[in-house]
Amino acid sequence: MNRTISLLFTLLLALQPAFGQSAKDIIRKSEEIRRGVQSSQAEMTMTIVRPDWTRTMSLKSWSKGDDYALMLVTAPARDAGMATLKRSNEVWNWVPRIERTIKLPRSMMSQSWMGSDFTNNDLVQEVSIIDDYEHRILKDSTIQGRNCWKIELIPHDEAAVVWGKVISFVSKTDYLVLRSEYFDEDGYLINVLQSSGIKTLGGRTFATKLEMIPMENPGHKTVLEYQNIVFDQPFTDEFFSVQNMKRVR
Amino acid sequence: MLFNIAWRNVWRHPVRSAVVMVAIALGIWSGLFMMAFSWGITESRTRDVIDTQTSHLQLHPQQFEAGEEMQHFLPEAEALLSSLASRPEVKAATGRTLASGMLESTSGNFAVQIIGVDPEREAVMTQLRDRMIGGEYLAEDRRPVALIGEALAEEIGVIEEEPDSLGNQPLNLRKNLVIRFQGPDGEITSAKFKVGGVYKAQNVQLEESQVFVRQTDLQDMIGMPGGMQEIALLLNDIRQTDSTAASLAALHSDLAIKTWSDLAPELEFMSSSMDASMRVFMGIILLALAFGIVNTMLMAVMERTRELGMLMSVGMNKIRVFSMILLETVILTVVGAPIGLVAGWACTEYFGKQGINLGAFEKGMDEFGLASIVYTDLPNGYYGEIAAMVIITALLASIYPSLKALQLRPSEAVRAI
Amino acid sequence: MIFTLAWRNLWRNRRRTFITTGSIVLAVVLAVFMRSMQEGVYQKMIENVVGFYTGYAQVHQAGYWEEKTIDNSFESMTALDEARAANPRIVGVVPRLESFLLVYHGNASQVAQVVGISPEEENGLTQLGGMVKEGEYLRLDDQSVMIGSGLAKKLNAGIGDTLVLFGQGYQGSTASELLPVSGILQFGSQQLNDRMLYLPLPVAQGLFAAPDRLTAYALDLQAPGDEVAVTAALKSSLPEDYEVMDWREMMPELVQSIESDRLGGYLTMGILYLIIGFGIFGTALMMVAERQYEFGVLTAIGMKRRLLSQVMTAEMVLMALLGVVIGVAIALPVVVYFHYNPFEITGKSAEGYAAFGIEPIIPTAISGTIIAWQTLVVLLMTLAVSIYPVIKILRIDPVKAMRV
Repeated sequence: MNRTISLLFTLLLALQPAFGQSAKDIIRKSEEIRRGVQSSQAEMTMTIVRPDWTRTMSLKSWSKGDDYALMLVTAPARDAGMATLKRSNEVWNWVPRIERTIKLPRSMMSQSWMGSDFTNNDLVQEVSIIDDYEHRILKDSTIQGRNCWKIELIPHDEAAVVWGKVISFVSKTDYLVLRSEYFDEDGYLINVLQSSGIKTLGGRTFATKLEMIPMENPGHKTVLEYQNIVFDQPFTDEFFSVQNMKRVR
Repeated sequence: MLFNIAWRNVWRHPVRSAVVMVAIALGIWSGLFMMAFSWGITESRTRDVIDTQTSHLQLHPQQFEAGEEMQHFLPEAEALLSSLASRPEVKAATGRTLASGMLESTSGNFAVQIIGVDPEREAVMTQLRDRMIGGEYLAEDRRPVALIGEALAEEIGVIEEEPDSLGNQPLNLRKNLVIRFQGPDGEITSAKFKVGGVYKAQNVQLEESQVFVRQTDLQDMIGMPGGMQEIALLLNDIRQTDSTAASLAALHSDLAIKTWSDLAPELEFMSSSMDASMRVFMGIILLALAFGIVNTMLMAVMERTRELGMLMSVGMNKIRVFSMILLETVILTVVGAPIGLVAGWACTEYFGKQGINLGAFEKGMDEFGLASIVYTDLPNGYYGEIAAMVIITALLASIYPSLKALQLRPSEAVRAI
Repeated sequence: MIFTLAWRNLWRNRRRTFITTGSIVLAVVLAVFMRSMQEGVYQKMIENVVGFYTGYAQVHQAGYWEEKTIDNSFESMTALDEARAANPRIVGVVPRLESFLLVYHGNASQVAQVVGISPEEENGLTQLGGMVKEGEYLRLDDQSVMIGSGLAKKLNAGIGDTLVLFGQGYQGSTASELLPVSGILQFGSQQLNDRMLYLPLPVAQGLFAAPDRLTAYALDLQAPGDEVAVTAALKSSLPEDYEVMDWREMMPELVQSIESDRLGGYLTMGILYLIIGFGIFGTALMMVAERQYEFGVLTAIGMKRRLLSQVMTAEMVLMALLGVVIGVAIALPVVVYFHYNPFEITGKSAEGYAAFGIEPIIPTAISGTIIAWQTLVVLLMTLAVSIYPVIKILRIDPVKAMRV
């Protein structure tokens, strides 16, 4: 009897996503899964697409929690060795060509990162997607053949967010955000961040391709593609130091 | 005796005399009018700058630097402000909290100065409330509100590109702005503001770079209640500016005190360049006037060859002939000058009220911070100065014809027709 | 017949003719001079603003002026050198590669407007070499930079100090370089002082990873005003991928501010016309008064008033033409003289001019259009004035007239 009750209980818990779960819970869970990553080490390419040119860079990246990230350019040869370090809300650059570390002035935080459609602010995300927004499930939707919740996020009045609203598509099976649409106050779509190439590697499911598409500039986008990724390697905080940024290979 | 002859001569030839008198009157009138015009431009520009931007005096911490506002605050600002406000020569005083940072919107990011103001006092100090072209003036709201300039509003889409059917350009006041800057602790502070309204300033640079918010909102953001870096003072009389600055400087050695002319050096430049071009203009007018008088008086001498010859042959000596002609000019001038002065004064008064509309090229005027309607204005001192210049020119101009008269030989002169 | 009579009349009383003609001469000289000076001030203003930076015309990749990024640069071309060889109005073709970078020195950082220049050509157009306050003017093969004095102060950098330049290069590449300061520039404009950084073009092209690319050719032209013909010619000869703009398109605010100032200038001219017009009128008035007797006698002996008034008009026309010719003959050398030897503003006002980057001088403009227009105005004014003697003659009462 006890076993039966306990089994039923487990079943109920398992079924909960289908009805009881709130939009906020879904986003929280998605964040928890993302944050569950203690650390990561990856190799990727970043492709900047413009109407009349494209440029591909190869990068190595390390991250630990939300506070630390380090990125190293490995190609093209001209920029190889350049590194960007994020420590909480500071951004540093190491430029081997001139053997200088450069701290990015605050005023430049909203500028483009390495000429891409990402900004330095995207690296130093201060806003909490859980606490700073009001969440609401709109309907179910299918993205890349996956069943998703379509969730509307409205920023709180006091949240330092320029968006009028964000629409996120979270897959029901693995809680991955497959697509985020950023709208202004008048409902115009400004940016789209899209994930694809879902793979399971080292016990984790994640998107290997990220595309940032600024809708106001036709023909512009930036694509990040992971070649390989290793999770939860032990990194000390010192690994993410200005000193180490110069040495890392 | 000589005066009587000269006086009678003047009225014996009314047409000729009228020509000279009108010439003198015209000279004085045009000098006055042009002076009043350019003075009006400079004056109104100065007044506009003081009334909407600089006030008469501004006080900052000694080491204050724009762009580094968080480094130095005014010591005991509230007390300082109320002590300044209670000085007899101070008409109004207001304190401001400043920050330099980024304004982020969905249409891009802009480097701006954020100015936290006391809404009521600011309305008196810089007419900010009257300069609103839409929205509400720093209204109490559950969310912090910001006033942005018209030029910035156009760039971030607060002013709709398409005017509505009535030709008005509706404001889109739903826009969110995120203001982000480095706080006193060196940490980045950011907060969302609602666009509360749009103001108009003297030039596009100001409209693009100044964002006004409620002082308390900004003080909350930086965690410094009562913190200010700027106090602006409006005095009862602009002439008290320098003396007040000096006495405040003696009182507060830890403050940097700047007058409106320190804050807007372009005003000085504008008035000095106006002055230079007015001097050239006056030179040309006086030259034209002098030639007119030389011509007319020369004609007068030629015309009267017989008459003058007669006078000389009946024994009037050369000095007296010379003096007589000069005296005639003096009489003409003394009659003509007041006409010119009155006409000049009347024009200045009239256009001082009605204004001269140069509105056709308003955009260009805006760029240089000029109002498109010029109200003429002239301090009293100029009336005497210009009248003196014209009278001296008239007298100098009459010397040549008078000398010409001396060269007449009585015998020949009498024979001439 | 009428003109012969008139001509003889003029020579009969030379003194009177000289005085009347003199007033017309003076009117022409003053009107031309005043207008030339007004336009001269504008020309100088344009020269100061345009000549010191943009040049009278520029060639860019189409769309650059709208969106000034280094990605809108173009490969340097020989077409303009050919155009210069063929068009004598183009004196120089000045290449530039321009963008914004972060500049660091010690703990200070500033955003600077970074311009890669060909020093010799640049100096030909903007006299940049004259702005050097400290250090030396760049040479093409230097590996150093010149910065504005305001920027130097903000960065706390002097001659010999090494600056770090960092930012975005061409097509998403990274621009980074260490370069010493070899010159400090003092511009009139504080804005330029605070943000300009110049470096040799080859260094800039390497820095921005934009080999052989330029953002603009600034054109050095033979004379102000040539930009109209030159831009028209280049627009038709260059492919559509390029935009050719003259300063009016690049700086509409300057055009508008001059236009609005011109209105004030017209007011001044109006007043001047009033005064010189009155001068001429006064002379005509005197002439008629003086000749009352003569006219009286002529009508009394049977000369038709109509014929007399025609002779009078012919006299005025002849004097007007004579006055205008002499006037131009005097005005021209005066205007030319003051063009090359302008009025100098001295004292405190001069400092004000210097502080705003404007030379403290008031030169005159040499312009055929001005001379033609002013001459025409004075001519018309004289003809309008001669209506008075004509009316006077038509109404003459010989008996009264002869009694004078």
